[in-house]
Amino acid sequence: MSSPRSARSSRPPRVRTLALLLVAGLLAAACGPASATAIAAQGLEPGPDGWRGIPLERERSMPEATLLDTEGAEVALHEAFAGTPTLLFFGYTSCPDICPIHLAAIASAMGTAGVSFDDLDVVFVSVDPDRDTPERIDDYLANFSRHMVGLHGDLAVVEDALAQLDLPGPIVEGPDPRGEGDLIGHPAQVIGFDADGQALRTWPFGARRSDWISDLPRIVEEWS
Amino acid sequence: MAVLPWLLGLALLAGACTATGSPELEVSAAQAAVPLAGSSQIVLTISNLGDGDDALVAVDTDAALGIELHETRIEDDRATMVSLEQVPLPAGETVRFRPGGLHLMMIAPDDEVVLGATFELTLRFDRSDPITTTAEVRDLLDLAEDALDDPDA
Repeated sequence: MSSPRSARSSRPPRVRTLALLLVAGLLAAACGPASATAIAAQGLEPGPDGWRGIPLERERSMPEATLLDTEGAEVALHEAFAGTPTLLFFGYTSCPDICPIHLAAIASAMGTAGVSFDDLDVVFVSVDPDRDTPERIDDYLANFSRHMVGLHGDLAVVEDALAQLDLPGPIVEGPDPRGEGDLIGHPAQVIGFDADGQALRTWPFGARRSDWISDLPRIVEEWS
Repeated sequence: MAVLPWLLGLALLAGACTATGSPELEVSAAQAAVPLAGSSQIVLTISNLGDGDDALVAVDTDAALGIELHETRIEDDRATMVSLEQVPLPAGETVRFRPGGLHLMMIAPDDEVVLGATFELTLRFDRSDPITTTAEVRDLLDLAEDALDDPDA
């Protein structure tokens, strides 16, 4: 498990690798077919049971990791969110594409489906502790709902939580064009836990507002 | 550093295979998301109706600090974003900029980039003359849902 310091020190080779991959990608695209247009992000196919979220093949549970909320209080994930179904998402406030769309879709669908934040915890964990101050996390989540829980902590703790869920850890991708630091890779999906803290389903990017409207009431009814 | 020769090589190669035929570009009206945390993304479509390749090399606007060409890639459950030097616009192809794929990232949008506002974008190409289009500012989720609804996308 690398600390933030060692992650920083290994940055130049990573950035170089990325640049080479980028060049390779551009080379492939320069004369080839329009691979640049290919992206499939339609709504999720309902399973035989009607769920849109995708069942997890392996058993996973809420990580045993202690983070901080935006008021500085310690939050032990496996204890704080026991007793209520929970949607967990790892992202960062400077994330321009995937993160805000997931969060906006969940917030909107909760309103439409009449699901209360009293019956479902929605938790955002920052993978960007250097930039995501408590104030910034609060301001960011307020764009979606003030009832969402924003957590942060040392990168090592976040990496440990991701590892317990068998999810890819945050990776530094190179300089942010806004000059604020680095772009960061993060898991693209939302993970749903039942009231006992068992991870049951995930919603990849491409989950639509209608997918959430369909699944949210079932989460509350079947996972509480 | 060591990347520079690669980039030069790429530029030569890219130039070599786009030199035949004539591109004929058509740019859709654009939609920009209400800014969040200092950035916004722009959705638009560029069709190359001609018989020659082209490439989008830059997008300018007075409404933000700048606009970057980005691509979100999702592999093995991990989302990453790469910044592109240019986006190929092959002859006969349509290229869409939208959430979860290629997109135009508006950096530090101005205060007037608010819901319902409009502003101009100028797209610059490798071969064709610049094209200016109008962007309307929309709610991010509405913009994303509509862009993902597009059956041709």
